[in-house]
Amino acid sequence: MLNFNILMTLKELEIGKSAVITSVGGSGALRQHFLDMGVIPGAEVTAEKFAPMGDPMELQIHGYELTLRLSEAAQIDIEPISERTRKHRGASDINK
Amino acid sequence: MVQAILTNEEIVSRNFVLDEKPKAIINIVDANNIERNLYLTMQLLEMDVPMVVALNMMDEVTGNGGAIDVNGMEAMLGVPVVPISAAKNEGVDELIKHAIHIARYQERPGRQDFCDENDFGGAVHRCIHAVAHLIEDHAKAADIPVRFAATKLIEGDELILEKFKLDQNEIDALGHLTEQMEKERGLDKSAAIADMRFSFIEKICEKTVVKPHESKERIRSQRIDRILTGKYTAIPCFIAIMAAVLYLTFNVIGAFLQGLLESGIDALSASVDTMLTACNVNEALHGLVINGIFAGVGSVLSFLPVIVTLFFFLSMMEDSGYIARVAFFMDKLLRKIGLSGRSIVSLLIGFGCTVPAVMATRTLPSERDRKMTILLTPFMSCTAKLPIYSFFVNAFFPGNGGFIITALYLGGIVIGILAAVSGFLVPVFKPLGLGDWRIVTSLICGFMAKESVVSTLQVLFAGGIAGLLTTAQAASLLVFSLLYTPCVAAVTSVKRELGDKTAVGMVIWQCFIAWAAAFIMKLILM
Repeated sequence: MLNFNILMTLKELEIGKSAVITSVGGSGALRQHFLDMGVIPGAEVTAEKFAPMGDPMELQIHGYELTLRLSEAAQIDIEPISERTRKHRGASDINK
Repeated sequence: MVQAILTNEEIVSRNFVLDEKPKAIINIVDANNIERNLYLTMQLLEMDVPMVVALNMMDEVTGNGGAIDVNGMEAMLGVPVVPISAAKNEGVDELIKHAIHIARYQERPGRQDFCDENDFGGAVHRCIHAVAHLIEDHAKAADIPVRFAATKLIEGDELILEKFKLDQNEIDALGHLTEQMEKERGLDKSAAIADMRFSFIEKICEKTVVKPHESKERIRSQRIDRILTGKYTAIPCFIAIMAAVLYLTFNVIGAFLQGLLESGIDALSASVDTMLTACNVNEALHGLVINGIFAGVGSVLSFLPVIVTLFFFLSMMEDSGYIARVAFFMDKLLRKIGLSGRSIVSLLIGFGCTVPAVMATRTLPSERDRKMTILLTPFMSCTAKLPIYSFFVNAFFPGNGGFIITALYLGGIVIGILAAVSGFLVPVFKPLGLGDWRIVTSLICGFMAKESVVSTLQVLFAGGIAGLLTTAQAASLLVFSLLYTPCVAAVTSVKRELGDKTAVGMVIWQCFIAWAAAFIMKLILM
């Protein structure tokens, strides 16, 4: 399902919803750290929860939980997807 | 749960490998978190050192319905892969055998080429190989693996660039090749390289990994987290847990064990006393042993149970992962006073001892965070201050012990925050009613080790301190003890992190704050 929200950042992803990263902002060591953690264009993420005071947020990416501050999440552009295609299931176990 | 911090494990590992030149590497991978863990594996493979990959916690993976095609993974990675369960000591012997074998015969990784010529027209692949060609001689001369150097140069790594001293032609060529790749791949160079590694990891996982279904431990953990990190329940839970810990430590377990130990020491002291008298031991020596050693050392030792209990609870919170959750929901609040959520770890450890708390700040992201946390940590009353509080509370405020000590702890925290925020520096130097040399000596001894304040007081006030100080003086002394400079060990650790000037400044600053607060306390109670 096509979504025309072109200008959406990770910060705005609702809980339980998934998206694909389209670009990673920021610069220098922090950006390199994002990339090394798997926050790269093309990666799928799902928003898990937000901290009680709204910041930071917890996401699922590459099979693990990553916590990002909202100020960091705001620098990552995403495109929402309706259903996560790369689920955390094995190669031979598609239906569970 | 992984938090985005800037301590770079790759830099630490790679510097070690480049400088120490180990004969072989054992790369331990958490099989439950395999995609994330394999990233470091990829980076290590580029360094062309004999390596064996250990898939740890395989028992959990298989226990939850997962499976890994180890041979397939070996073929794709080009290095031996050994499934192990370190906790159950399974597979470890085989792992060691492999490690010794590859080290002895220097069996290098079977492949370092992870870029796919078919991915996006092979842009990254061609770029890396071209750059490798370009800098081959330089790499050999600097004794750095070629593929590793090529990748780093493309990423724009300053350290390698400096080391190689490329001439202008080579720098231009490098720039041109990189730009070419960026254009073709549609990603900047750093993202392109990171993507190359993750694409390969994805391929490995697709072919060789069957992910386990969600374990019941994880489901349980998530349910607990809904309370521990829930919107309205997180902070009440935190306060409740901390209150429970402090209550159990001081009033229940700690107090009980302390009573036992005190009786034991008293009994021992009494029998030694009798024995010394019976043997007609020299007066001075007799006095030294009973009033000096037993009284002094004994009074500190009797607080050992409380300290042990507190450390026990702190370790439980750390090992259960609770402190990581605290960092998660405290982050926003701590950011308001210029710290990061991770600072809470140091601050909580500071309730045990300031020395490891200061050292723990090394994992904090920014220099400013680190400095602030280090300066704030000593305000979290360490366990060595406990004997001071307990002693005076028992002598002057019996029955209100728990309440007063909690108030002191909270007071330390609050004043610490105020001091951090307002940059309080200038002292108001006035007498605090503590002009007794015995007290001042004890406090100075406290710079060596906080607990010596009590033992020194015990020895110097042989007649019993209760009758010699007013309540106001006692309160003033309590507050001063709470706030003045930490022990020399703690100051040394601060000095190591932040340098001489800051350490000295902190000592002076804390002493002044202690003076002011103690003075106010005295005025209130006079």
